Amino acid sequence: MQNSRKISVWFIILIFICIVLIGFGKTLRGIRVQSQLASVFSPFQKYTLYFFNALKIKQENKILRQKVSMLALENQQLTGYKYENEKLASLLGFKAQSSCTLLAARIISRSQEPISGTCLIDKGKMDGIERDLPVVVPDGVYGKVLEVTKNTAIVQTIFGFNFRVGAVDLRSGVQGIVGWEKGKGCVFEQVPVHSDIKIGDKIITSGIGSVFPKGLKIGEVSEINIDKTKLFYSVPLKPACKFSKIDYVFVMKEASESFQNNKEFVYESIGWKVSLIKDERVKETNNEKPTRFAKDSARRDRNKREKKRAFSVKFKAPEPVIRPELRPTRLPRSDPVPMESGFLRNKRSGTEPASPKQSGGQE
Amino acid sequence: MIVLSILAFIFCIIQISILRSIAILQVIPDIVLIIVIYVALFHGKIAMWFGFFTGFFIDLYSSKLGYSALINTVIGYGIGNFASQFSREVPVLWVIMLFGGSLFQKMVLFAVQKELSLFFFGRYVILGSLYTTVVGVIIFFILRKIEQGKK
Repeated sequence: MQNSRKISVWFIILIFICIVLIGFGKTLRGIRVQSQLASVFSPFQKYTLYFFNALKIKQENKILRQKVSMLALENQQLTGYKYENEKLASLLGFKAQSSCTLLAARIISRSQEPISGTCLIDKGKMDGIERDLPVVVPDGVYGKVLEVTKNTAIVQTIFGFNFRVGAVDLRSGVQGIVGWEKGKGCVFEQVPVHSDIKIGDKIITSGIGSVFPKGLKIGEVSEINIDKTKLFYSVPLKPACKFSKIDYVFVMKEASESFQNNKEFVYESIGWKVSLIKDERVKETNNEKPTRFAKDSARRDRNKREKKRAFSVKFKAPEPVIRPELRPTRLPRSDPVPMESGFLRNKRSGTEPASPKQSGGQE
Repeated sequence: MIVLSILAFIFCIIQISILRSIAILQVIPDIVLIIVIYVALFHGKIAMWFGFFTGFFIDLYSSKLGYSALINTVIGYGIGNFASQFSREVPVLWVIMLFGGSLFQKMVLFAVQKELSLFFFGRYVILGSLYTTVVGVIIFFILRKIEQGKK
């Protein structure tokens, strides 16, 4: 009972102290004392927080590590996208400038042996790709379509040993063939030894061969080693495009009118005066299956010939001398045709001979 | 009693430092009040000392010096006096004592607040009392197991 009374007294004392504290806490001195007393216990508070934060930080660290690895991966992807974007932007710029119908394609694999110089693109028959269509990049000629499947196509690049394209020196007009030679790489061959060729000369397609239109960049002459014991020599070229650095290419589906006009302009600018009519005749004589370029070119030329009769053959082929004993009327049909009777062979196949009398320029 | 004193001190440190991280809707349980009610229920009126010192400690880190000390002292003394008449091992009594004690404390603190609003009342008084009750029951079970294990 006494103990209970004692506790009650203490309770009243404590209540009184609390009331005093409430009053004291409102004074400036009380606040100062309160803050000083609070600082006494602050190390406990500090270490408790430190311990708790350590646990929290450990968890956070684990999450952040995961995030860092994810972000690193994302960063790698974005770097790849950036690189791809830059490339695509440059290709788009090229496509916008080009006057031809171009089909963009992605290179999905390259041949392991560098000498074969082929690659696989992700466009095929379904996209309108056909054999022998030229493949170009903004830098210039890349190759031609070798084989076509439904969704893919094999491209024979300019870096392969089988590749050949008719070429011409843009400055001097010297003609030749660009191909691949073992040990030298890309070369401008079949060039007469006394031709005017200099280092740095730009080599473009000549249009002969009917695969590539005229005027596409191939490369430039990198060195000249003249061997006067030969009639023709091979000039090493520095190709305009880099085989390994190209991811996207354009398949040239058809050339526009302006491009064809440009072809003529290129011809005139290099001083090579040969009419397109002659090209057409050569194709017909050889019974080659004309490509789309050849067809377009022939159609346009035929129209021009009919309307204007202005495309004259300035480069006159020598008039064939036909000896009376070799006239076709005297020869039996089964007899072999003599070498010099190309004219007669043309007659038999029904095509026009290369006679200046029948060409529009002679009238 | 020494163990309970140390535990009360640890609870005070936890209350003022890290308990904010387990807040639900910015409401935290009052574990200092839980230890005071526990002592009051199972050890009688001596809980008023626990209430005074723990309340004073909490007041050092609040803007209202003396209020928590006063309320905790009253709760410790009141529950210690009241609980002696009942069987203390009934969990329902724990819930009633915890919720009643917490509600009283928060009502008084709510009454001295300058900003009185229904939102504040619902959130800090009702939800705070419920949260303290739930956490209190769990702590009570743990402490009872420890004390019974000692015996």
